[in-house]
Amino acid sequence: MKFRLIKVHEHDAFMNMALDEAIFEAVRDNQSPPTIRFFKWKPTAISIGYFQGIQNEINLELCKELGIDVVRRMTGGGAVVHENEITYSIIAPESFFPKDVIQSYNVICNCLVDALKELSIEAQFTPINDVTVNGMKISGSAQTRKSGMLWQHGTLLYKTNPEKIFSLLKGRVEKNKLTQSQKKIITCIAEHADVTEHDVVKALENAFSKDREIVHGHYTVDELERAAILAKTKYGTHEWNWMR
Amino acid sequence: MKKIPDGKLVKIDVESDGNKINYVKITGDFFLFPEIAIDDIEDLFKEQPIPLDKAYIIDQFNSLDAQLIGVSIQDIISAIEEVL
Repeated sequence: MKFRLIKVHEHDAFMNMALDEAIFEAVRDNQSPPTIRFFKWKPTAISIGYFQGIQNEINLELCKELGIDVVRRMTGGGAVVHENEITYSIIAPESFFPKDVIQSYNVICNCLVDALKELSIEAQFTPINDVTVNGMKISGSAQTRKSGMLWQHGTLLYKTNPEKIFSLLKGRVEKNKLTQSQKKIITCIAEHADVTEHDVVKALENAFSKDREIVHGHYTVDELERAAILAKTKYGTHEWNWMR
Repeated sequence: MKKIPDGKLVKIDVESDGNKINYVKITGDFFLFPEIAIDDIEDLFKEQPIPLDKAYIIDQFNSLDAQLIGVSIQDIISAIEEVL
């Protein structure tokens, strides 16, 4: 099971999602090896799930005021504010993972659990797609499968600003009302360990490399060129982001 | 809007003339493979008489070769019925 590992890079929302899809296509077409990638978002961005209604979920006026980009993902799941967090993606043939979707979430999310353990934080996989610490969400992931490939990406919160998150995500507020949840539901690494972001990235790299043959690599020229096209013609378009 | 216990959130927009459904839009934070099948699921409900024939819709959904995660087709039917 040989994987290319691409160290953390920073891009805008549209290029980040475009790079994921460009890598997906390259791995699917045997042009690139299965890939694990870490990335950050600049400027701050919100990604919404494939099935979410952009106007239902996001305070678009506030996003515009704060210069926050909004992009629709190829994966389902909920909206995520990408700020003070590290995002991963893993793209490989489906056959590398359990056929059962929840079990495959378990396998990949346990890399996050292991990374947190290295940082002395006890966490656990909480189905369907979360990692929690003392019942509070510290990581969420989203997976899709197509063309015999598995593509999963997710976030690991380094710091949180719950007031800002709740002011940006209208849907999150509604969901909490429905679950009548008054308790704190989100946590972050900084609340549990005195570590740097560099330490977190290192722990993630170690955890995702465990039991896998890793080759450190970079984006190929073809992937970067394809991503630039996808960023312009798909992820940066009103047609895609306002699809639902 | 419906929160599925231990699952995800489903929001329904529906238009009907009282006798049949004209339009359904399903949004939420659930998962569906392949994602594009959401269009087929929404189409399942178009022109369906009210009250809904659940067995027929479930049968039609099963023929789509689509996998819902975090929500079931029964949950979606139930959410639509709550809105109607």
